[in-house]
Amino acid sequence: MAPASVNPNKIVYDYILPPKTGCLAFVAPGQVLRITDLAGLQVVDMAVFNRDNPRDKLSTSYSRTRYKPAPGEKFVPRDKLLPGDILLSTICTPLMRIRADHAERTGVHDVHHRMCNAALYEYYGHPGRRGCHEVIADLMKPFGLLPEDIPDTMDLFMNYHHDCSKGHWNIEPGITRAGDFIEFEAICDCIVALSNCPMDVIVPVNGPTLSPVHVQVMEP
Amino acid sequence: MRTIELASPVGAGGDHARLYVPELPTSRLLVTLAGPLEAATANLLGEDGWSILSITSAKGDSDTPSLISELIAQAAGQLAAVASPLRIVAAADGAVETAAFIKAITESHRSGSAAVRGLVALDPFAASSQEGLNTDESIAEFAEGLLPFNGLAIILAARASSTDQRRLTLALHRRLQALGKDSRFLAIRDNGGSLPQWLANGRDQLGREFRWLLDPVHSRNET
Repeated sequence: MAPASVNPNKIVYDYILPPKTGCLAFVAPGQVLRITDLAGLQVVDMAVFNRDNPRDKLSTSYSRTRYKPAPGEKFVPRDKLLPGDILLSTICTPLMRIRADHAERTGVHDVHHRMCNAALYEYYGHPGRRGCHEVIADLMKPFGLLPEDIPDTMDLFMNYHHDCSKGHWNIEPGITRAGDFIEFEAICDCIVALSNCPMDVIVPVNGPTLSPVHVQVMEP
Repeated sequence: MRTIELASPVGAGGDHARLYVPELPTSRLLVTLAGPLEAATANLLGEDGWSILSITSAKGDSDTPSLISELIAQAAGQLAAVASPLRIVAAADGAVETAAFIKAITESHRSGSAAVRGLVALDPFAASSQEGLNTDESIAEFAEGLLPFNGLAIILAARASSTDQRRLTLALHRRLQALGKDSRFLAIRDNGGSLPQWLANGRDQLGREFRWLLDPVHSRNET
């Protein structure tokens, strides 16, 4: 799918995030963060923080289960996040709203799993490697956060689903094609930490070659 | 913060260059061509280990790049005892200043006196659009000037209030991206601050990008 057009006069941040690296995006209320998978099949781990209080941070669990119900709606904990859903913090602060999800299937993002990290690589024979946790912790260190303060991430474009019959999760190659993207509209002032996932061993979470993603922040 | 007045003034009429060296200097040197540097700003940058060479103005004449190059060499000489080799980021506000810096970087590279690893250019077309120059030509000229530098990390920024500057600067950024250069674009909300003040603020987008130009956050850096 061709990326929807962007008004160049509205762009406030534009960067092509290389594989195995991380960046921050500062997204003010009303501004839109777009992350485009340039080559397809590339996962990006995303942590969101309330800029006024970075200890107030994304909770994927609350985002799935503390959505505001429609009148009379039953409480049904969800297993995925879709356009229109709100990313909530660990104290249920509305952080961002998913504005668009342009892929063959919407909602193919992991909102259950934590990040890859050095321990995972070490356990499976790759000692010395750093993962998305270490990258995001480095990105947020200047804001007074420690590695243990980093929340569970929303892992964009990650194809991760539960197999109830076997009692475990499946990690499969993604479904994104070149140019697929997801957009978030900030509700409060947000700092978004992104790690272009370096996983090219253990499981086929990314495509055969790690690839860059396009990070853009746009004014409304 | 120790200050050292350097011997080769740029231009005439009181323009000068001053080197600020923190108590605990690192290999990082910021060279600014963006108006006067306030002591508080220098201190903030110094706390992060940056030495700063502040060149107060550039006249844009043909001698300016050579003078900048000479000042960078002098600063490198002053810092040789504490940090060598230096990792230099050049930061310029305005078209004349950015053009002078690109030429100076070229001279420094050619002479081998210092290697500039990062470039921050704010409103790099500020004068061009006012003077009605051919902007396509200007973009091509800028991109061509930066083409020879492999490994140069670039921040292109524009004051958000100027639609023209944003459009042109973004166009240059996209040209550089297409050429495979490591470039990022930012539109800066103009709060009356100066480029050095914005660079010194490590809790804002420009200040963070600037700090990570030399030391990007990565999981591993082998290809």
